[in-house]
Amino acid sequence: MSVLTSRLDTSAAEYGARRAAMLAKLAELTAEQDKAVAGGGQKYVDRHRTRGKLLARERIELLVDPDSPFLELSPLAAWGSDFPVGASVVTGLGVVEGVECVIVANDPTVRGGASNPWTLRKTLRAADIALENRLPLINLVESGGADLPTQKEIFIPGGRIFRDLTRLSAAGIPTIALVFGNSTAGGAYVPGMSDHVVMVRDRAKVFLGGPPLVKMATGEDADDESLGGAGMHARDSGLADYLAADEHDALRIGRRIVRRLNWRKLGRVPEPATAPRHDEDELLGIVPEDLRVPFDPREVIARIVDGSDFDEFKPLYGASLVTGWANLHGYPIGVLANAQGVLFGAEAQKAAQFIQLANQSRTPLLFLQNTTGYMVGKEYERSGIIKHGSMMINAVANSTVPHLTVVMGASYGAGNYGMCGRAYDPRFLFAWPSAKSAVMGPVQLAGVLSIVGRAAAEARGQVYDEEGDAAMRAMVEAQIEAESMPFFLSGRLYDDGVIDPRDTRTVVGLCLSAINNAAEPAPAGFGVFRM
Amino acid sequence: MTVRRLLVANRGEIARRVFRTCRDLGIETVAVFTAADAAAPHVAEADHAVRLGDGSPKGYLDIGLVIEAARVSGADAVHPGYGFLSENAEFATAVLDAGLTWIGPPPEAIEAMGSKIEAKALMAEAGVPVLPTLSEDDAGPFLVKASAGGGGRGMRIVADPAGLAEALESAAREAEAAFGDGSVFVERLLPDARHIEVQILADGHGTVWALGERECSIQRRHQKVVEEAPSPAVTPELRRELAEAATNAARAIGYRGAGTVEFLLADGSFYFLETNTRLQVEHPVTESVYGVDLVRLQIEIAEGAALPGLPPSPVGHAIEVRLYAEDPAQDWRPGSGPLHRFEIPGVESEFTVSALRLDSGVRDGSEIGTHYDPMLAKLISYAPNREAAARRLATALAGARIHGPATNRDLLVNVLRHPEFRAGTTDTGFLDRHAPTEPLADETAVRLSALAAALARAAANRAAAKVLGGLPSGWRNVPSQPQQAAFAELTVSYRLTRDGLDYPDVTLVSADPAQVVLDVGGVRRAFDVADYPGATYVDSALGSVRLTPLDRLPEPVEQVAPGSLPAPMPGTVLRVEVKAGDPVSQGQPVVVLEAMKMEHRILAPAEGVVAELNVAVGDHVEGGAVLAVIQKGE
Repeated sequence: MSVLTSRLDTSAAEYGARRAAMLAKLAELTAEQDKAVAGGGQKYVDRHRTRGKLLARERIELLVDPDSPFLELSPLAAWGSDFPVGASVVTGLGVVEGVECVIVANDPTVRGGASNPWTLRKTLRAADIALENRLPLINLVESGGADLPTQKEIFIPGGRIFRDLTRLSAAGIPTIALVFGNSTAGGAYVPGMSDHVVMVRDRAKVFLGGPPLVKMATGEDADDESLGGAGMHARDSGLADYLAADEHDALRIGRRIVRRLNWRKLGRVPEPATAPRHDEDELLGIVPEDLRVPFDPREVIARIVDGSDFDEFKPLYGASLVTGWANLHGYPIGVLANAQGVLFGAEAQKAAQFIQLANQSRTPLLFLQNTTGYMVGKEYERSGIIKHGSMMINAVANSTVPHLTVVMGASYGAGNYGMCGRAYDPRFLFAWPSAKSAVMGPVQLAGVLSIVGRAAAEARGQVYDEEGDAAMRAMVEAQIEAESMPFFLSGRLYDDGVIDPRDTRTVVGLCLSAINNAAEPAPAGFGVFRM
Repeated sequence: MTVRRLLVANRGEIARRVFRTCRDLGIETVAVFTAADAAAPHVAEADHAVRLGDGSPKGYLDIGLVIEAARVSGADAVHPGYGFLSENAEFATAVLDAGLTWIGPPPEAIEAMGSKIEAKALMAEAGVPVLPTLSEDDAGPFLVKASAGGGGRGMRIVADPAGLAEALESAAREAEAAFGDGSVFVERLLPDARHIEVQILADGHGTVWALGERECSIQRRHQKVVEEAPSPAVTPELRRELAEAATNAARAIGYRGAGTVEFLLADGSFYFLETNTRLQVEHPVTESVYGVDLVRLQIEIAEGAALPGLPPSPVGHAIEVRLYAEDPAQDWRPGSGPLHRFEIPGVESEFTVSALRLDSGVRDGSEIGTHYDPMLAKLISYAPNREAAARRLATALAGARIHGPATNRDLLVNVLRHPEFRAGTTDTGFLDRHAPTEPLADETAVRLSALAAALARAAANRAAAKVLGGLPSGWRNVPSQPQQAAFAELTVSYRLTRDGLDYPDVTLVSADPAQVVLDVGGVRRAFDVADYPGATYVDSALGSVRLTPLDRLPEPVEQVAPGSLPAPMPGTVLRVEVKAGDPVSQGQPVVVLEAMKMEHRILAPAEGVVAELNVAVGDHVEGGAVLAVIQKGE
């Protein structure tokens, strides 16, 4: 046992201030998530209910095992866009009959559940998660199809939806469609491409062309039910495997289908877990409001890993990056966490070695990001910071063990890459409300623009407009600041959600369990390079 | 004539009661049983057990089978218990004729008391007070009774002379069916009377004891529910008079063994009601107060022993309640089904005198059937005074874990705590007037119990989870609605958050699948939760609550009228064999359907009438379409 001790002084004013700031951000997060939960608003929710229908999240609650956890993914999708927060679809990881599944539920109260570009990205992300982690995919279908004004953003890339479904199936990952309502035109291929299809009697409507289109195309008179009713599909076309009496029955059948998948997880079985010795609640008071002030990530590790038990690797070498081994909810993990923000050559080499060691022992990696990037300056360039940074990025990019990333604070520059940012395909990536990501800090970025502008003016022999420069800097700073914020980035699907720091252990534990549905990946080809 | 191996021609608690004394005396025990009782406790604990014939439920009433059981088991004595053949002179004679010792009075005494009409005449002759004969101008109310009756059957209350004829007729019919003797008689009904009875014990040597009185006024439909000794209404003077009358009665019929003389007490006068020539259900209260074992005395008397000259003196107060699998709130409907758990806290003894005595015919896992009396057990408290005995009994009952069919437990507790009972002023009309059927658990208790049940189930769900069992219950990063547990009685909505239970005015202290501790308004309360298929029981100091968990996603039930005949598959109607309104017998063809070149005959499921006919020859029908509806004959 190498139990971490905490130096966090919870009675200090600094702790109180950090905690208060974090709680304020969490209140904003809740407010934004509430917008997604509210769906299309009271009017459309009421209309949906008067039709005797369940809301998307109600369907999910009934589908998953009672009292089991459910991790909603990308709840802030479309934040900052022209479309409602949540992107008219709910996706997440839930447990159905003891099987971890990816669940995708259209929210028909938002513009009829129509897909917009963000809906598409959110849905595709869910399918990726299902494929990478070998998780059965359950679609709760009720969608009016594509949002026609933005069809150019949807139509061509949207074909992936159907390709993903059948590729999942080809990979041995079951796909289930419970059709509650409209699933027409392109949407008809969701049940079409699924392994198991349930349709709700008198509600499901699945056809390629509706009555008006059929009339225009062939002159035939037809009604919804004869073109695509659940009864027709169950009796005649065979597109529906099960005819459900109502929505509850469809969910019941869906659960029975999952039960009969005879699912077996192929990965590691967790060891017994003990709670951290330090209070998770104190995670609220660790990250400084000003991200220029560093914090010790061991305070975070001590509050998320089993028994606060952490075996640190190379503690004396490259001290600005903390690396080490721990268990989380019984699953072994390797942790990489930024300590002083900056990554130097030693840190990069240490990271590269550690990642190789993790690959050697098939241990998943957890990246805890708070980095301002790789060190710049003459001395560092000369000592090969690019080479070392590349080494680390190379290791991250080609590591085959599952990666999980949590952005606690700063995530700037190539540090974002080396610490397994979105582009490096971690299995899951979550951000704390205190996170910020950009190519560099807003002040630095504005300053760089100012220096470049001043140099250009001087080269042209002009007098630099100092007033204009100040306004430009303020504007750029504000814009970069806004675009570095977690809601904005989450809205663009650059993470899988903004989470409460106190939920970190739960979220990571849930993801580790999900990951282990797939077999452990095969190791890469080289021995470990000593750095 | 020492008894070596004794057969009890009975079941349930009384069989076990007799066995207990046999064990004390070193007598081997023989149980008899029917198929329904094959797994009953009385069978398991006997040294020998004999199935009665083919196991038919009426076996306990079959004299030949019981005598045969005694023969094959090598029994040398028979105890009849109460009920069944206990007051059947023919049975007593058969036992004696088989050369066995009969633990009971002489058949002649049974015979003499068997007819209430004749018994009454006999008692009047012996100087025992009886109700006066009716005269022409009696205005009522009246009580019609079966001469051979017992247990309230063949009994009718009639308000005025106009209703008498009809009551006599129906009572006679019921008596004929129940006892094989349709004789009935009429007495004046004493509405405010108390039921007082005297325990008699007579040996074969001329000694007759009167072991004081028992009061059994708390009755529902003439079935005793609460009994006690002594009676709060009996003065020492009255006690002496009652003892004398009972002793006279016993002597008048040459009684031997244990018996009971029942009286009605009204306005300070008492009237002979009937004599029960057997051990009474409520005998334990007398045993407590007199410190005797009546079954032991019965056996010893049958063996020829003599009673000491004077009976022991009474000490203290004893109260018995009869716990029935009957729901007082549902018109006393008897319940049946598994009794998962039966546990009464603080019981000090079973079948022997103590401060809290349990005489039970059931145990955890017993199946409560419909063939026999729904009494589960008797609970008897014994204390220096009446108040203390009532308090002990009520508290023990209230805390009992009874997980099975609905019982009269709450009613019994309500009676024991009722001011009228505590004042000792109850009469036989008490339950008709009050019927305190309100459950001990009030609305708040039910709500909290359901919450506890929901939280216990959540804990069980987490413990049983195949994956993610270590994560917080019902955890959500985006909470949109509460966790829910639906019961037929009410639905519980709650959410477990990092700050604990999100539920108004309740703090969760701890929850595991079997127990939930809640802090409600500063008071900690423990709720014990037990889950069984189709029922959840929550026991707490607030009362016991039974909940019926509802399936979250029930299988849909086809909404078709009973008796509907659906088409088994799509097809064409080939023939229609009936017309609407036709009577049909079971299995009679109604419609013949042709489908896939096969003829399918749709048959009437039961005898009845064609209430609906929806098809004609040549019709094409969908699978599941209702072809016809047969209304079952009454």
